[in-house]
Amino acid sequence: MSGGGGWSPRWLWRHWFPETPREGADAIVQNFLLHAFPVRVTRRALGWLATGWLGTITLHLFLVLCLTGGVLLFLYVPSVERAYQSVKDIEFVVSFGSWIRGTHRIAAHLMVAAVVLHLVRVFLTGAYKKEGAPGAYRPLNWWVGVVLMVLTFGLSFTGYLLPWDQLAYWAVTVGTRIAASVPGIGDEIRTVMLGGDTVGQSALLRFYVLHCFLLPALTIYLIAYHMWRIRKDGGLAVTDRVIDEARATARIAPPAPGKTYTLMGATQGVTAQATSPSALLARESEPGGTSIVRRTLAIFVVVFALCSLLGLTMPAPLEEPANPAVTPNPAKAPWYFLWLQELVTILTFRIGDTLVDGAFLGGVVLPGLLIGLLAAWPFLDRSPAEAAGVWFHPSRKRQNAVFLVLLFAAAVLTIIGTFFRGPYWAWVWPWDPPHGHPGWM
Amino acid sequence: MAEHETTGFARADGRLLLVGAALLLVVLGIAIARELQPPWSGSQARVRAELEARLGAGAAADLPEGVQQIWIEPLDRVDRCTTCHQAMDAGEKLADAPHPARSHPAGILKHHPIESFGCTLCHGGQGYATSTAAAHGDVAFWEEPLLSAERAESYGLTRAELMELRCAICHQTIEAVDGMPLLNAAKEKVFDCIDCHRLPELENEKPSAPDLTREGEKHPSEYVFPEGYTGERTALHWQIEHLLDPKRMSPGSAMPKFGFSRKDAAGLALLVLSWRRQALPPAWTPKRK
Repeated sequence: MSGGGGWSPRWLWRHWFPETPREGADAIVQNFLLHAFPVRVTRRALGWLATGWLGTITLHLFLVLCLTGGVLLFLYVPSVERAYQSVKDIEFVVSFGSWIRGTHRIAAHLMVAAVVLHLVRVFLTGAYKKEGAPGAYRPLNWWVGVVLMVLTFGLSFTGYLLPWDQLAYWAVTVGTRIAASVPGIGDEIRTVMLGGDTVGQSALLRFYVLHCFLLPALTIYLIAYHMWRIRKDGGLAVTDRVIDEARATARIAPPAPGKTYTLMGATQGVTAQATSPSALLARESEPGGTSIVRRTLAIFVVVFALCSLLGLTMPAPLEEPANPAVTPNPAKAPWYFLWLQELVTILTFRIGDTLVDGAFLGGVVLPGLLIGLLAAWPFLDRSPAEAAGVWFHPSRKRQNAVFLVLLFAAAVLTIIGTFFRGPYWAWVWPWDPPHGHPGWM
Repeated sequence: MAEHETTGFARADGRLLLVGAALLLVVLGIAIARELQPPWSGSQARVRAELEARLGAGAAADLPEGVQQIWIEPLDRVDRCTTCHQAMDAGEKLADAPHPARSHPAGILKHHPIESFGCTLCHGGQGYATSTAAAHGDVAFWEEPLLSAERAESYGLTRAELMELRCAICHQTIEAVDGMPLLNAAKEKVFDCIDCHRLPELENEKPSAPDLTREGEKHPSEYVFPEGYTGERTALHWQIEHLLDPKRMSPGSAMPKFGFSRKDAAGLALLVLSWRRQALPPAWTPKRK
């Protein structure tokens, strides 16, 4: 320790410029960020092409949402009498209020998009596959990821109601009516969601608690677990391929005899060291702590800056106050549910005297099947181990095609629902005259 | 053991970090600049200049700075109009000043003090707002626009005449009320309507036509305009056109054409639109003569 009684940055940061090798080692071990990441990381995993860093981008969008949402928590009042007014106050009199709300809203939309793109990347690179290094079990992280995606939709949907304007009120009315279409217990599900029969004060309070406490807490917990699992699975799937190649060309350092970091590694006859990137030759990897910290910091700043810019240039809308007596025509769900609303409309038809309930088929059965299909996919996947961590591996042609067709269909339906649907869900062109209702005068 | 190599990754990430940080600083700068130069600051400067030009230096010393608001507690409304329109009580000397420096005519304020009634209750517009377009209600998703002279002109009315609608929403009486000539004239005509309709205060035991007691509560989205209608689509336009030619706006209607002038029709339409329930604090109930 240098310095006598004067001020020292060490008061705040214990390992400020370590002076001895021991202090240096302490600085690494005791620093959360440097310790959360692996010692070595392969250059291919660090590159942009392997993952697009979409998971990190999603996490940073979530951080932006926590930051801006934390501010909004001090300003927003979750009551049907005050909610709308408090949002008007945020827009018109709170310093930076409109910017913070705009940033929160755009980050929420982008997070939904980023989490879906992240899932697409993991699928197309086969990174969820069971086969991997000893002790690795990547399907577990795939399932955690699917739950996190559902949580993201839940966070976004619960946040949608809070401004208590016409957009919020009717989107949630549409959403919860779809939930009510489950045979037998649909009405009960809707009652539990809303705390009553109608979208009212109890519904607002429920959505508020879910949006500001329960779902974020669950999301933070699962994100931490999601990231820890990456290390438990021996890093990204692409790392396995790098190690394969290094081993094939005998560029890998032989395992140090008698040096075993985990019991699991010892019982399976392989030391953890032998399969971890830290065993690779220096020219194929980078120091993990510094390079990943630097990269994530850079991504965070860029994500934060872009969201702030969009929040400033695209203010969040606020429609008329919620009015149960006036139904907008059409009443649309949030954009990421519009493919489902489109399906609900397509699947509602008459065969003779029987009305096929599109809400149940398109709004409950189909999304349930798709989520189930995602969860089951690691077991349906028969591609070889070396297909994991590789974009569009030849052995995965068929399953990638199925996945992309489903994705494309959902994207097309979302675009139709967003831009081509007018009153009574009839087809409109974007250049048709706007269909707003008349005003008072 | 320590590696102090500067790899390509480190350089590229360093550049990315710099670009992101620079963008963040620019955005923050714009946000702070906007906060320091709010939309109303120019208006406050104009009021100040006008006041000093007409009343001498120092006249504007007492003008408050920042966002101003009137909270109408009994109605839970807030009006921030006085943020720009700061010289409402400046009297005669600013009676002909350009907006937003113009003062408010004093007469009506004796019985309707600004601090208890605010502004939008009579004038329309968006009380929450602190920028001109939003405050004057010329924006999407705001239903009650400012009752301006231009808006009144599109109905062939003066601004004071159009504003009589807002008077009538509180002064819900079939008797004449001072200061509401257009609606007082309409109230005289409306006695002929009870041959068929039921109207507020005017009972009709066997109405043969729709009950109009709460006609003013009908939301604009419920108005149906006939095929081929090319005019503006508002509730007031519908009511006026309907009074001029009932069968045109409401095909199959039994109501005959009465041959109203456009002005009479506008007065009657405003009266009809004022027939709505308005929760007023007991102390506010207008006294009857």
